[in-house]
Amino acid sequence: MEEKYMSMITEFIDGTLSPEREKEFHQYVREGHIDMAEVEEMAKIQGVMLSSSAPEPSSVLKENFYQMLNEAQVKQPEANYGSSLLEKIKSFLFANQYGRMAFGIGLLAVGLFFGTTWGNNSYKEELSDLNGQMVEMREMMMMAMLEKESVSDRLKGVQMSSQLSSSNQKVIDALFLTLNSDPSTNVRIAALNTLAEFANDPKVREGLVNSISKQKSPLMQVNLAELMVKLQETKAKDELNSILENDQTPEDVKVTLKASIEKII
Amino acid sequence: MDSLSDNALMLQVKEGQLDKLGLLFERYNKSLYGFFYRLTLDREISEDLVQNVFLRMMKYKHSYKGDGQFKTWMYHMARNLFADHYRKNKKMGYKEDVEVTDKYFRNENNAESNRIQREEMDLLQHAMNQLTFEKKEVLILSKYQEMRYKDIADLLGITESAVKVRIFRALKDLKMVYMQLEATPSAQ
Repeated sequence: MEEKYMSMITEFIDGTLSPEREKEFHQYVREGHIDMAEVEEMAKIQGVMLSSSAPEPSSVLKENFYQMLNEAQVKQPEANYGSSLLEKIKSFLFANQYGRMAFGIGLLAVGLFFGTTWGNNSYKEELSDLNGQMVEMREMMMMAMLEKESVSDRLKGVQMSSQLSSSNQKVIDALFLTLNSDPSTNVRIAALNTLAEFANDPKVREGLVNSISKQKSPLMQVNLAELMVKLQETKAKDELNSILENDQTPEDVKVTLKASIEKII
Repeated sequence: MDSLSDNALMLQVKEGQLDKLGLLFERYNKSLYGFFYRLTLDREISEDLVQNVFLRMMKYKHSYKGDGQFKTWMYHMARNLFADHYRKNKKMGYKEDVEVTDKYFRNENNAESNRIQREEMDLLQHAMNQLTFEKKEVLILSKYQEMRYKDIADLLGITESAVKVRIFRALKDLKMVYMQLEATPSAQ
């Protein structure tokens, strides 16, 4: 069979032939160049193909993608600098107060290292003092980062906080302030994830429940609902119900929330 | 947001607005997954490959010029990644594999709900797996990914009429294998 007939059959089966070309097609059928019975069988097999349902990916795909995207967003600003490594270090260390603080922390760390390696027991108390100061400095840095304008800096701030202990009320308060009022959803989600790690603390749990009604973004509402299911926090039911009753809540969010409420026993 | 074209979004990603990649992901993750899944019949590998397509988009965003179809650029990456994957696994053969086919049907809830459709699909999957890679791929791109002849031509680097001829040959082979399998039920 000539290739021009093959092309035409493909287009006929797909229904993309123009009216004139379709006339031409039927002419070829009449002349015996194209076997209509074969075309019909091919169209039938195409029908079988098209009736198969589309395979669906699992939720892991989405989770992994957004994690990758978040990591890339955090790393982005550094990647944009064209300057040399030495200049980067110099400008980071001495250009602003955060840099100087980081430099201070670095010096303390070096001190701690030499202290623990070569020091004797009489220095232990001083070392624990130094350690305490280091934690304090980290907290200050974290809070300063959370107030910065750039989204990626605030994300870094949230990440730093996850390395600090949950017992510090100042850290927790700062994270809640971010969770409830940061303009970026990405930052709020990061704060939520960090706070979720501290959810054993009853105060943190209470704060999380109270935060539900403060969230306007559907993404946050759904994320919080999922966390409440994980924590089996029955106190969250009322808060979630009030979102359900709100007319402005999108329909698909309502469906997800309803499912979540049912899962909280 | 939906009014922004794929091209416009990818150009914004190129300028550093990485969050826009999320919108492209929402638009295309399912169809890309379908593309890989129909080639590999492996859920995990397909998900990894989709993730890698978006990772590569981010890595090579500077090379995006926006003068062609975004979808073609995306499938270019998808095909390259698939080829890399198979080179690594030295599994370039496409022989029928009953276990893999069974796995495909366990994952298809829809197929289970209709016995006749299931039988037809079973046969279809067996038949698809017996086609050469070239033919199987062109059928997936045209029938499942709903790409136009011109876009497939750009992607494969052949002419539009060569695409139509290839689709014809693939569909004809598929029909032949399918009918053979249908006539000999023991082959399933």
